Amino acid sequence: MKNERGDFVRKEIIADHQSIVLVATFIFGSTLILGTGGDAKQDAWLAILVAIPMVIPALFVYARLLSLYPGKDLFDILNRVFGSFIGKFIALFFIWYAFHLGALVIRNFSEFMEIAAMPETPPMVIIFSMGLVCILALKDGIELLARLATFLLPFILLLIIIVVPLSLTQAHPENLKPILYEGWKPVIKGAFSTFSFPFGETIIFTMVLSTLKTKKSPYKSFYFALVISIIIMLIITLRNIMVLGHMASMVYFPSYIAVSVINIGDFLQRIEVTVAVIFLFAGFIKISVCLYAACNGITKIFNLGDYRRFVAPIGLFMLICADNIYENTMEMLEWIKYYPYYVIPFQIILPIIILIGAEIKVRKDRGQGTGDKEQGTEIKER
Amino acid sequence: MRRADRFLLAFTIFVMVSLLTGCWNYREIESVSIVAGAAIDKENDEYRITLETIDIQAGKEANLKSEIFEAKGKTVFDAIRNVIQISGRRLYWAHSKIVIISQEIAEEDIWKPLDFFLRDGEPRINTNVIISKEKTAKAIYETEKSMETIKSLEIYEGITNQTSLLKAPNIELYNFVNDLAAKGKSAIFPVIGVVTNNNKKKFQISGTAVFKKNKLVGFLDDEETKLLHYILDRAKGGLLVGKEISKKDEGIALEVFEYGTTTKIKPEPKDDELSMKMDVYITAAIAENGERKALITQEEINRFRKEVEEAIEENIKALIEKVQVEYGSDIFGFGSAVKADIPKTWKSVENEWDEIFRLLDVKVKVHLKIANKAKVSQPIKIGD
Repeated sequence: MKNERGDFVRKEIIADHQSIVLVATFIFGSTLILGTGGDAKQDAWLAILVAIPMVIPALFVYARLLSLYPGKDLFDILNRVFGSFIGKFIALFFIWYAFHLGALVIRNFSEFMEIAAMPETPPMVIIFSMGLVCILALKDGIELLARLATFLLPFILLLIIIVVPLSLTQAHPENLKPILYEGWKPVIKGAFSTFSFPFGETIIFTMVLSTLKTKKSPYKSFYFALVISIIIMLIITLRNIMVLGHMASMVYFPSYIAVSVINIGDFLQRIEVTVAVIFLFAGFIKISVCLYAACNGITKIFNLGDYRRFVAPIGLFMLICADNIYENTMEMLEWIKYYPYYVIPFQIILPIIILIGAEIKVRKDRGQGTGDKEQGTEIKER
Repeated sequence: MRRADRFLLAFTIFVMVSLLTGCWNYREIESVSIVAGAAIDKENDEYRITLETIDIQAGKEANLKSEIFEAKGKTVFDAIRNVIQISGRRLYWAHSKIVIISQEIAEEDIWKPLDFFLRDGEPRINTNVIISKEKTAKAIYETEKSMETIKSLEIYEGITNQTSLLKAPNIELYNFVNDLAAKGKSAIFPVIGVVTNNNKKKFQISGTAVFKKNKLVGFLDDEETKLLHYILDRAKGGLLVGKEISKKDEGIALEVFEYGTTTKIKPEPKDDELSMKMDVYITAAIAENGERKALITQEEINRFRKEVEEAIEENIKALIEKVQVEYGSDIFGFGSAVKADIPKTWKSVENEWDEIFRLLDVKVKVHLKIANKAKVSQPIKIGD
């Protein structure tokens, strides 16, 4: 199949189970390492649960957008709903966010490797060895990424299923008490930051998942992924608190530290590298998805045709940004404090505005009879 | 792609993958000294580190030999790097098992030398830390060791095998950090000293070092340490003998089992008074009955059980009182128990917990279950 510019484009289709896995891996990817809801301390697990009621409507907005315009991603929708000029202007924000998020995740990864394994290696080496793999993978398209995610997830789950029970020997359930010692305030704050990182970040998928099979697929992908990732995050957070107690909120990478104290009969020990492996897999997926979203957006607003040609330059630029984005790890943690506020426009305000615009536009199109049949029936069903 | 090209490509990839792997600045095993353990002393405002490294000699039979190095520095890390001057090699800490800290440093501020071991990437946060009762920590490494073993590993084994002795607590660095950070719980570390055994100087692990905040305030001897294990719900075995279980020493030894041995501490607020209720459940077997005490009928067993329960209760109470009066340091975690169970009350007493702890009334109840009498049912009869 060839597009209007004559580039050879393969039709990419992502099956439902692939998109579920892709979204789930994306959600728990960096959370497994960085932990979440740190404000809530020993109630961090509660913060995850409290975040759920905030996450469900947000995911509904994202899924609804995709489902209103099947086969179109966020950039196409913006173009249709707000016209070429305003649409492209808003698209710029989302491109920036996808690009920035990708850079942040790469940096998280390199900081982790620096602290955990290779303190004397220049960060650039780690950033590039990770980033180049992402670029190479994306050269073969998002479809490949989705298939790769379904291939990697069983390994991730297997590692979690094996390692978590091993930590139980060191777990002290009394570390969870007292529940709500400082009241609901820190928990709500923790829930808010859990919403923005990682759940709200799934807005990236509105720029990615345009090739789903059916109109129900977006809902399915988001909600099944939500269930999977919440279960995993709850298990990991509870484990970290039970094993580390106060230390869970004192260290940068609680999961890594929690696994490092496993020592079963002086025989089974030093298995913290499994955590690094999980992060390697999941981080790779997350970075690639962000990079794809950014490339996709840039090629769409400038009408450049196939995104694959731009993966390398944009990706390399992302790597340079990742290297320069923070001075040091302390700054990274400082930024995480402000991150929930920074992402409000990208994760909440703009998506809602776009959805409202899209709903109006769809109704108008139907009234004029220009909307395609599928959209018409969708509206009638409601 | 032609066949030859494809082969060339595969060959190139293979060569590059196998030659260009490795980390940025990898270190070969021959070029590093693997540290097994370290002792830290203070001398004229400088830290002196004494460390034992493992020397791996390759050969038909892998031999392990250890070597002791010593260096001084302004901080612990400085001293560690200064070791290179003597050893010529960089130290590799990931296999380090123990750190011995001198009493002097512990009394001043234990955290200064320990920070490196928690913060740095190489040492593990489950390193065992031990306080030296001798003048220096170095003295422990000057004792004689058994044949062909590494002393640090010997000491490490000694600490971890306390599960069947309970004469010193097995505290890993991160446990200590948690207790240090917690309000309402003070930290402890095991103690090591030097004894003369069979005309040789040997190390001996025995007792508990009691901390208040980050300062050492005193020691508990090994019998008190044993009881401390019961209070802290860390008892996973060990014996109860002699004075510990009866007023008159009757030569009976009880072997405690891990199952069914647990301790529950519950705060009991009454009006304005706060008191603690401690239930100690012990499951044990009669392992020695040298004085041939008659323990056959249920009645005899019950009488014996009551005696033992009362004796343990009294001993535990005495220990708590000693710590309350002499050290004023809540190593039992009563404060944490209050915080966990009645957080509202804790908020009001948090600031004056020091004084409250000193006067805290603790009700101790021991529930002993005698599981069996090992192989022998009747007391051994002595004929002629």
